[in-house]
Amino acid sequence: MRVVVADDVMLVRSGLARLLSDAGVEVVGEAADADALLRLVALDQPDVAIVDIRMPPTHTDEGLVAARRIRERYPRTSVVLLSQYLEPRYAQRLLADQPGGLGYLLKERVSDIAVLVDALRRVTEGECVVDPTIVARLMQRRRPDSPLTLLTSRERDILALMAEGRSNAGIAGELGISERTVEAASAQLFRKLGLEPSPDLNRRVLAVLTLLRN
Amino acid sequence: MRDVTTVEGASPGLAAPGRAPGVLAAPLATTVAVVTVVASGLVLARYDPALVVERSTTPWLSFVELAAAVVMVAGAWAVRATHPLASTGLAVATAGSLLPLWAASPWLPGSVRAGVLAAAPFTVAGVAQVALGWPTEVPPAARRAGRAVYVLAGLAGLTHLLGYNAFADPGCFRTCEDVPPVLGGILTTRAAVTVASLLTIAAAAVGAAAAVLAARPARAPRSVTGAVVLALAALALAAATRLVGWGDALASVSRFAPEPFAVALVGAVVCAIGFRTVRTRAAIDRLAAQLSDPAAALRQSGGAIRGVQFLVPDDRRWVDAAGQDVGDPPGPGSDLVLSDASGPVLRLLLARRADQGEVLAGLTPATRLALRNAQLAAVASARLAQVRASQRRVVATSDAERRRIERDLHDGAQQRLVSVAFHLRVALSGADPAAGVRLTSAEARVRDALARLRRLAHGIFPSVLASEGLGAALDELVAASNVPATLTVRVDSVADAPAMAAYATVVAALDAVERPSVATREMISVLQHGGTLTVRVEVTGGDGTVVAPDCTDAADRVGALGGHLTLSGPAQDGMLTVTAVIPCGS
Repeated sequence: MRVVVADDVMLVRSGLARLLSDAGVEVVGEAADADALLRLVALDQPDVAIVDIRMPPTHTDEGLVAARRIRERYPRTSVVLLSQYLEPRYAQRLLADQPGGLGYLLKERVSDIAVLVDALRRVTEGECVVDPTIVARLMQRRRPDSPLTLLTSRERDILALMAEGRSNAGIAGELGISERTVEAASAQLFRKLGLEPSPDLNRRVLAVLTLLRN
Repeated sequence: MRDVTTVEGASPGLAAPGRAPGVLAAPLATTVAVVTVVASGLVLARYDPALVVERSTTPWLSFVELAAAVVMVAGAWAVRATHPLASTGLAVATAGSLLPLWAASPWLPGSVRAGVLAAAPFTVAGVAQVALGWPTEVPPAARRAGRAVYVLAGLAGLTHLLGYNAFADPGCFRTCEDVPPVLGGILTTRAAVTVASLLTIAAAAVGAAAAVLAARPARAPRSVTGAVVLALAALALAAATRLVGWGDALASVSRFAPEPFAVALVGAVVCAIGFRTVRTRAAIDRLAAQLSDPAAALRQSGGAIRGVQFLVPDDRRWVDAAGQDVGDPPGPGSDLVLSDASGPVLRLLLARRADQGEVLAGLTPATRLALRNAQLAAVASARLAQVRASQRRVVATSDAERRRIERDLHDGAQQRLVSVAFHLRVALSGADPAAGVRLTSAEARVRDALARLRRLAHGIFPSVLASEGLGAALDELVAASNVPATLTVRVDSVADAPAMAAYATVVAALDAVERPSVATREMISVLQHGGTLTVRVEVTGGDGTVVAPDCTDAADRVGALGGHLTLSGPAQDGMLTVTAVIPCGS
């Protein structure tokens, strides 16, 4: 897998690149700002771009804007955004339109390199990955008119794990139930959220989207 | 400035409604006067020279009586609202002095004609009441004296009613029918008249003495007391004359009846006072109007003055009546600056044709006072606006500083800690087991530090508020809380300062929940209506777990924007409501 890393702090950038190489991921380039990142992506056509949300010059949402541009221009390149912040809004803004091939993780979590590598693999497969902390926050929201209120607590747990990018087997293992139970509950969950039967992966993404939009 | 006008209503004694006798007395007295005057007119219409000679009256005297009746009635009405007791007294005196005149009306039944004479002693009581009942708070001594006068007059009237037979009265000069009274056998007419007259004189004496002496702490005006004493003397003299002249028919016939004129004298004085009250009140109203709206008063200057501007002392800037800054006047000679000992105070903007000297001469002391008053108000408004602006600047500066600190923490310390975590992880991959344990522990500490730092940075400045808006920031806040909450946000676009104020209000209210119970609920609503943002947070069911929140920061932010924050609770059952109304100027 070929990745590029964009972060304005050199120490973070190099640390991350080092961790990834150790884990067997090929880091083909490093960028300190959004413009350099876009040049790298255009040049190297990596599988994934790992992008810090806050970069120069304004340190607000440069990474977010760059991620959107990458997904528009280079559909083959997936993006994993790293954030210092526990701000579900950023995740929502990024993922609300087209969540496939996108990930959003808290920066501190990726020092556990296995999590990052797993996320990289999932986004290249077209899934979306959202940091568990942010998913937990989203699930806590109480909007009276949200279809999420129709879900049972078991279905909510499953949806949360789906949003984190877990497979059915992973969800079954986490909750201590059989994979068939997960499949049945998922079907019920999709129905409650008004999602028509279609390829399963797509429906998973749409379910996560419902979570993000509410 | 409005309260200048409330002085009118608050002044004691001007309005004392609800005194039933005072309400009915004046209309009744008016009725008596009208009947008397009409009857008198009818007598004149049936002009009989013989009768006139016999009564030794002339038509002009009837007209004078008419004038007297008008004055009494007018007096009773003039002070009806302001001095109800005195008004009642005057009404009683009116009736008492006019009713006996009905005795001369040949078409009334004889018993009635004899009976109306018994009303005469009440003239004394009524006149005395005018003086005794004048003050708002009638002193107890005066009250007692008034009652005594009424008792004496009542006894006199009763004696007259029970013992008087017009036929037996040598003073009766016309159509004196024989109507034997109830006690006619026991009490001769002469005895009855004697007793009644003596009681009347006694009543007058007591009334006059009380009017001068008993009413000391709160006395009627000198003019009223004087008129009352004079009238009482005249009434007593009339009673004495009648008693002395008993039996002298000629003297009785030619006797001048002073009662109506005595009452009219009191009525005239009361009328004058009533008129003066009305004039004074009108003047005060005009003054109040000037004080509350000098601009309107100036517009009545005949167009010479176009407006007025005030100088904020020590500030060298001019403001209008609302405290807003204004520019310089168009040119020299177009304004007239008024100064006091400390220097310029205000300037009048003159119309093109206006003459400065004329305007100066036209400024009355009341207008100057009104202008001074307006200047104080305008300067206060200007200063308040200044203070608000400075408060807003302080809040904005502190926010900018907090934001900078938050960024420094995030872009500096936090990033470095993250890179430390990465490098610890890298070191871990090549380390021996013993070092690995230490490195893992170090990494866990770095993560903990990161989490703490993130919370700290967020507490210093909620960056999501600036980047994503109020709704998103409140979403975060509610999501981060472990208390079930409903959040309703209906806002279009709110500037940073009001958004921060609203956010701070919600934070303060939510901080009040110390140890949430399963029943604790929060209801948050933030609604924008035009230029106003209304924030309301209700905490319910937090029995014993809700403390009084510290709203200082929120209240400062809300106050700097000219809004206000109200806090009610926490009540016994843990119910707490925080409401902030914030102008957001859109």
